[in-house]
Amino acid sequence: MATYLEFIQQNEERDGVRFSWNVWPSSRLEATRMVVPLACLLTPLKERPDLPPVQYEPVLCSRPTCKAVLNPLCQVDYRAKLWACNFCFQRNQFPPAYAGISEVNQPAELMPQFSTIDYIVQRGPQTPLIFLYVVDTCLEEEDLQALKESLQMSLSLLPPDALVGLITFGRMVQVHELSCEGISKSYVFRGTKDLTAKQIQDMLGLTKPAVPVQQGRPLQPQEQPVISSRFLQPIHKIDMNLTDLLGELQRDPWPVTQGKRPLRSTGVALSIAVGLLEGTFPNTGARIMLFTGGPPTQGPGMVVGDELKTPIRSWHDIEKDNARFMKKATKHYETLANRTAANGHCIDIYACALDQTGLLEMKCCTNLTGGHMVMGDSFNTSLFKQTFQRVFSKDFNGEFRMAFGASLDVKTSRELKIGGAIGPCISLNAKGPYVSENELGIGGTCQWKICSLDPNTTLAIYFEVVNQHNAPIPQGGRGAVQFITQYQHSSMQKRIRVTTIARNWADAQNQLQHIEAAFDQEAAAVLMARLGVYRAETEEGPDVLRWLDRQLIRLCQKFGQYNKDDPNSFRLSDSFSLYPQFMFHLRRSPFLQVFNNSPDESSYYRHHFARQDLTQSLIMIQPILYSYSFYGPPEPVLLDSSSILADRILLMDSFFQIVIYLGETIAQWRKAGYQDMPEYENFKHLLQAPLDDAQEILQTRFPMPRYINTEHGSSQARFLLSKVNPSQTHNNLYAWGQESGSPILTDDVSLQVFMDHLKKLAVSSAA
Amino acid sequence: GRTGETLYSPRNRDVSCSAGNAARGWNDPPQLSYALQARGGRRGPLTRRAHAPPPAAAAGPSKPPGWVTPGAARAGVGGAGGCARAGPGRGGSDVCCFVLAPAPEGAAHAASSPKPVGPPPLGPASPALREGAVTLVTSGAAEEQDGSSPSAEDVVAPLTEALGTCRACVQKQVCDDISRRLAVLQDMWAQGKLSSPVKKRMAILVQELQKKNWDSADEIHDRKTNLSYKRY
Repeated sequence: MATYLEFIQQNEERDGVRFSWNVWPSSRLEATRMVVPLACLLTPLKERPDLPPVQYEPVLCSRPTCKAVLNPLCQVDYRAKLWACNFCFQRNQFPPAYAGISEVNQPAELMPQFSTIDYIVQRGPQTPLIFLYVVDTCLEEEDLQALKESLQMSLSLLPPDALVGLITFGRMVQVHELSCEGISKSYVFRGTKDLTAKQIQDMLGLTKPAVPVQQGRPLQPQEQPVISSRFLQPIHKIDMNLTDLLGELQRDPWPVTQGKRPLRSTGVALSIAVGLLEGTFPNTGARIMLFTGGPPTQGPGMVVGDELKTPIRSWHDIEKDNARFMKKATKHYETLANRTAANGHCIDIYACALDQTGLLEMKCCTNLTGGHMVMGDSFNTSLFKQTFQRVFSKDFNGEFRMAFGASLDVKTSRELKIGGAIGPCISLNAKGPYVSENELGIGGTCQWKICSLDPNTTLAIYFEVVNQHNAPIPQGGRGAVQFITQYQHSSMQKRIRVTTIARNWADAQNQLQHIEAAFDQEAAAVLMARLGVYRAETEEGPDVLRWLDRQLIRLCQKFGQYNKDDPNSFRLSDSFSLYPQFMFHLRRSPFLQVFNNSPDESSYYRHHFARQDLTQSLIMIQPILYSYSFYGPPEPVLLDSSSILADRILLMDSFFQIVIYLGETIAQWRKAGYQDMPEYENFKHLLQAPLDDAQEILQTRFPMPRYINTEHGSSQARFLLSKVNPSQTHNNLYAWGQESGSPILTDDVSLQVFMDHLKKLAVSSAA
Repeated sequence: GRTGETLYSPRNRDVSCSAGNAARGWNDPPQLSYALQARGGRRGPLTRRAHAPPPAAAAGPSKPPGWVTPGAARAGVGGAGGCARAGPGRGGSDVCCFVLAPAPEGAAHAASSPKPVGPPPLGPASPALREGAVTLVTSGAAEEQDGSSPSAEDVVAPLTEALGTCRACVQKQVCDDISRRLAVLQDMWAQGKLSSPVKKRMAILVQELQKKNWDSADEIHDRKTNLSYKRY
């Protein structure tokens, strides 16, 4: 029989789903005593090269409140041509096309290997993808030049029938008319005045409403919304002109006096971009791509004034309620983000500057719409250039790894309800029999909208067991969940992916060991972390840490083995043994600690944490450390100061940073140039191996990480030292008596001390 | 102090990369060629972790806390449960090993007493970092030494034969497409439109396929595609 590890891995590969519990406690009371909620990480569009989509529509349950999709868990009566819905038990007639169905002639969706299946739906018009560039011109010459080149490059990566548009801004906002001939024209707006959607559309001459997109009827050529064509044109028609137009972009001409910031009208520029798409292409896949080199300094959405002597808000200012523009700016961007999401469009923010640019205030634009957030120092860095290139990366079929306008619909067995979701989505406010009153994350609904997603986009979905205590284990012994994701594929096709999963119920009172053995501690750590980070966005930091600590202690009390009041007797089984250290590193992570990070950086880290898949999320929580030496092949080592040894090279991946660190002796050998001597070629290879492995990581990571190549004693070694568990510090260095490892100058608590306290609290009879 | 440093290595000579812009961004990552980025990671990510031994095995004062010896770290990964997430293609055979000669005592001493530092352990130069690369190096060498040009027939015939075998289980459309491409290859070869390196590599690819060295064949195929990618 397969182990749970294999079971979990297979399920993740096939369905893109990881549950915290893989055997479910059968009553509400027992479920709440499990501490970690029943929840899953879902990667709706997980890449499945081995899964060809089927070319027909899914068969739905006929009960209007259910509408679940026919799946391998349904009971089928082949003679009567009936199927029973496994969620609401409604008996349904197969549609006429299924007349030939029999035990030996089954459609794919009934076969167990198609628990995840993609449908290509023919109905509805196919609309081209839209890319609207919104470009800040208050940049240094070098940055503007680099940005222009990146934008020109990106034109060659777009699909030829994509529509493109260009808005530039500085003190004023310019909406450029794109035409194939003649002189270039643009509409100029003041950057200080907020305009309503109606006003923007009037001023741009978009008042003649676009033909509403109707389902089931292809758009006739004469119905094409010609009105928009001045600002949004197919790339194949205006490729050359737009390349020239971008090439001729100049820095914002308005003079900036000494001691002032340039006046930057980001708020109005975004507002116009949102209004333009809203009036022309609602409910069509579109990216608004904002490139900015500094904070908004005037008009609605301004984050800081133009006086350089007043610095942009810090965490300290925010805590002291001294961030003058924050609330108003946040509100402006939230309104825009909600409108964008309602239109099914997304906003990317590419912010490159050494100082903060207002990501804290603008984060909702990306977080609610599924857009990308990229933070760099300058547009003239490989970090920005390569990250931006990867937005247009393609899959094994040569198709863009981006999808638009998705809706995720979740159905559950009667014993389960939906608490909520955390990820780059908004609620569609779909109430139904599956929706719980107890919200976790974005709740009160069983449907969410994800305006933009890629094959890695991952949502956390939280459930509630509602079966009553002492009620028998539900019929069939298994509970089921169905995820239905409808989306616009980058090929413009409408597709529906359906994933249906089932897990066994167990009575927690006499089958606790089954539930325990099926605990997925990696998934649980990420799911709890998402809840924690979600709360951290709205609550005070210390409260969240206290909440996480309390949950951890309760989990250890429930599942540890110990004698009361004897910390030394405390044991955790294998399936829980790693969970405490994940929590230890999470507590130290930039997702919960704001110390040493700007508000923009915190927003940036949290943005990425709330959308990555399990593997990447876990790397963010507890970075991975590999050690290279002469004594054997590269191997993973503990993320601990004791792993920092003189004759080792370390490679650390913390998602946002890749660190290569040469131990003291290795660094001295390199300095002495042994790698250049033929007889020490072995050493040369040793130096090269972590570089090669780092490159493997760099090739696929989005966004590109910082790359730190450092050695013992160098100031840059701090990136490693701040992440390892400080098992040896200046306080306890001599206790060990040995020279192994590297002491860290910190008063932070080590994992050992953390664990000692945890054990003490878990076994305490006072608790 | 990273300026000018590159990740260039013999193993990825087809796909270069250069340093990032350290002057404009702190710790800017290296600039990879577009082909390299488009190719994506191939050995699978480094996602395994070592985990602390269970509390029972907590180290005494003689051992640094939580340090696991290399062997134990592996066992820990396999045995600790839930932590083994070996990436695909990072199995035992794919792992490189630097130990070709036992490390002399000096190396161990160097670790404990940094000064004075002895030289790194000597040993026969490691021919390659990973097994796959060994084949590449030798095949590369053969390529340069072997002056004779392979014939189109020697290359196309086995490929056509392989295609015939595949027809039973692969979509007709795909097979027809490949068959068309083989015809184009044969034509171009006959018309002398192919350079000698391309011909030689094709010959090696066929050889590797016949020897069922799938990994190295795949590697050669990849390098070929990257080459042609760069050309356009």
